[in-house]
Amino acid sequence: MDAINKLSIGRKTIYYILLILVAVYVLFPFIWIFLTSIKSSADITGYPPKFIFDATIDNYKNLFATSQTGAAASTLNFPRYYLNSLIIAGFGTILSLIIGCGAGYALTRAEFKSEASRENVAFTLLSFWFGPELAIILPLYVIFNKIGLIDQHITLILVYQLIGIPFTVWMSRSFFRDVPVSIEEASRIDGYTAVQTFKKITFPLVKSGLAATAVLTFIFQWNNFLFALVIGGRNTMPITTGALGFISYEAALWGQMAAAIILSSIPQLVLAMFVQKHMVRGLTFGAVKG
Amino acid sequence: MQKSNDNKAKIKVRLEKINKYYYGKKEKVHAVKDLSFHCRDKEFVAMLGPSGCGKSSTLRMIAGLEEVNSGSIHFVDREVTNLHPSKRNIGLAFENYALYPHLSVYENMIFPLRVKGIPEREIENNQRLHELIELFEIDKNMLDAYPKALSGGQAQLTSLVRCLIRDADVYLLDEPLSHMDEEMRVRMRTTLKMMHHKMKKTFIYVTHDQLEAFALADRIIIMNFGVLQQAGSPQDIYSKPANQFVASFIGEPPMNFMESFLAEENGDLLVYIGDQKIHLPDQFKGKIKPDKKYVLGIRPERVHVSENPDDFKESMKSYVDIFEYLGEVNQVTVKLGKERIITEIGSHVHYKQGSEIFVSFDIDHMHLFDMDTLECIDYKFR
Repeated sequence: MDAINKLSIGRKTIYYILLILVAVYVLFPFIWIFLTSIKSSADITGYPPKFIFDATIDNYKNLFATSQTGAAASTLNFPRYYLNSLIIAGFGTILSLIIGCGAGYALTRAEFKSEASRENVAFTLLSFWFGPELAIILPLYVIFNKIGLIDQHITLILVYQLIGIPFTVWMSRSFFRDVPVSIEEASRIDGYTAVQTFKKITFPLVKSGLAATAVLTFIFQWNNFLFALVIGGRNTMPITTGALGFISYEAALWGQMAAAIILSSIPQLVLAMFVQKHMVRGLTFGAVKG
Repeated sequence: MQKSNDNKAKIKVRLEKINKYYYGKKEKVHAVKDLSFHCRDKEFVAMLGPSGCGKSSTLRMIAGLEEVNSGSIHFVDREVTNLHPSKRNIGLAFENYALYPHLSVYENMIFPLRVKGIPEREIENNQRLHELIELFEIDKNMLDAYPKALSGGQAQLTSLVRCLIRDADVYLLDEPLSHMDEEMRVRMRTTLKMMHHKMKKTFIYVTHDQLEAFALADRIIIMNFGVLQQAGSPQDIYSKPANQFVASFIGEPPMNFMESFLAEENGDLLVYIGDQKIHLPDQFKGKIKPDKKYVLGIRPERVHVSENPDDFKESMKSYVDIFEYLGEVNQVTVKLGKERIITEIGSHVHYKQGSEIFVSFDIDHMHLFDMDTLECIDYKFR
C-alpha cells in the first residue's frame, strides 16, 4: 500500500476504481450465490433477476431439516457431508503437515551428494502436484476397490495426500531454508538437544509460514472434487460432491445448494482471514527473503 | 612441535590424527590431514592460516558441529569425538554471528544460561554478564534491540558475550572480531586478552590475521592445505619458522627469499647469491650438504644497507632498485644479482634509485630452506 500512498490524487482515484472493478469481478459469483441462498425458489428462477426481494433463511433451515421437501431431497444429508469434509480435510491436512514438514526439513538439512541431487528430489516431490488427477484416478479406484477400502474416510485422507504432501514439502522447505543452519548449531552448542533445538529455535521461526501452509493445504483438500467423486461413496461423500445432489431429474434445489455452498466456504474464509498476513509470504514460495 | 615447553599445565584439548573430507561435485576434498595438536589448560591458542586451510573445519570438529572422518578428540581424559555439542560444555563465537533472530540482544546473550535452567533473577544479577557488557562496551539501548538491527560489529560482540557468559571448559572463537572496524577490532582484541586472563580458561581462536594471532596467543598453530605447518610460541614462529610457508606467511613486509648456492671453501661454508657470497655461521657445519642449491631466507629487519662497504665485516655489492618513503620508516628494495631484497631503514636516510649500495645480512638470522621439501634446515638445530 505504500506505493499507492505516494501517488497523486488523480492517479490514486484511477487505481482505486480499477481495484474496485477487480473486486466486484472477483466477488460477483460469491455475492450472487449468497443472494440466491436467501431467495425463495420463485425469486431464484424469476426473470429478470431480482436484486430487491424478501430475504428468507428457509434454504438454510431446510439443509438441516430431517424430512426435506422435494424428491431429490430424500437422500440428502447435508450435516453428514459437512462432517465428512471436516474429517477428511482436517485429518488429511494434519497428515500432510507431519509428513511434508518432516520431508521439507530433511531436504534442507540432510547431506546430499550434490546440490543438484537435492533439487532433483525436491522437484520430483513437487511434480506429483502437476500430474492430472484424471490420469491416476482410475488405477487408484481399482487398487482401493481390490483392498476393500472404497468409501472409507481413511481412503480419502490417504488419496488427498497426493494434493497435500507435495505442497507442504515445497512450502515448508522454503521456510526451513530461510532459517540459517548456524542458528541451530549455536543452539546445540548452548546446550539444547536436536529435538529441543527444533522445538525452541527452528519451529518458532517457521510457525507462521507453516500456519499459512496448513490453511492452504486444508483449502485444497476441502475443495477437491474429483477424488471425492470417484473414491468417496455414500458414507464419505464430502460437501463438494454432496452439493451435486441438489440437482436431480425431478428438481434442482438451487436455493439449498447455494446455502450449502455458502456454509461450506465459511471454514476457508475464517482460516484465510486468520492467516492472511502470512498468506502472501507463503504464496511467494519463500522466494522473497524477509 | 614445540621443543622448549616449560608450560607444564595439564593438557585440556588433544587432537589425534584428525582427518576430514568434504565431497565436492566431482572430487573428494581432503580438508584436514592427519592433524594432531594439543592445548593446555588456561592456554590461549590461535589457529592461523590462509582461507581454506582447514582451521575453521578443525574448530567445528572440536565443537562437534562437523563429523570427524578419522582420528579422535579428547577433552582432558574424556573422548568427545562423537559426542553431541550440547554435551561438550564449550562456548563458541561464530564468525557469522548465528544470533537467534526472534530473541533480543539481551536474550541472545543470556541464552546459554537459560538453557541451563538458571532462574531469571539469578541471570539478571550474573556478575560476568555485567562485566562482559561493560568490557565489550555494549550500549544499554542495544540490549533490547533485535539482531536484524545490529551492525556486523555489534552482532559479533553479542555473539562473543553469548560465548563467554557460560562457564565452559573450552572457548572456541571463530574470527570473532572480523566484522569490526579497525579501531574497534584493536580495542576488542585487548579486551579479549583481558577476559582470558580473568577467566583463566582454555581459548582456541581461529584467525587469518597474523597480527591478531600474535597479539593474543600463547601458542600459535599454523595450517595450510589442511596440514599442520608449525605449532609454537609467537616468538618461535617468527624467529624459527619450520618451513618456507610459515616463513613467508608470517611477517610484514614478508621475509626475503633468494635462490642461493652453498659451497665449501677452505673448511668454510659460503652461500653464493649470484656472484656475490656471504659466510654461513659455523653451526651449519655438518648439518647441511654443500654443492647444492638452497633457498636463503632473511627477514627485512635483518638486512642492512650502506653506501660504505667498510661499515660491515662482510657485505655484497648491489643496486638500489626501488626507494619508498613510508613516513616513520623508508623501504628500500635492492637488486642483488637477479634477486630483489627488501629492507627497512630510518626515515632520515635517502637513496637514489640505481645507485650502488652494499648489503649485509645478520648471519645468525639467515634461514636455509630445502629446494624440494621447502623445509627449514636450521629449524632442527636452532
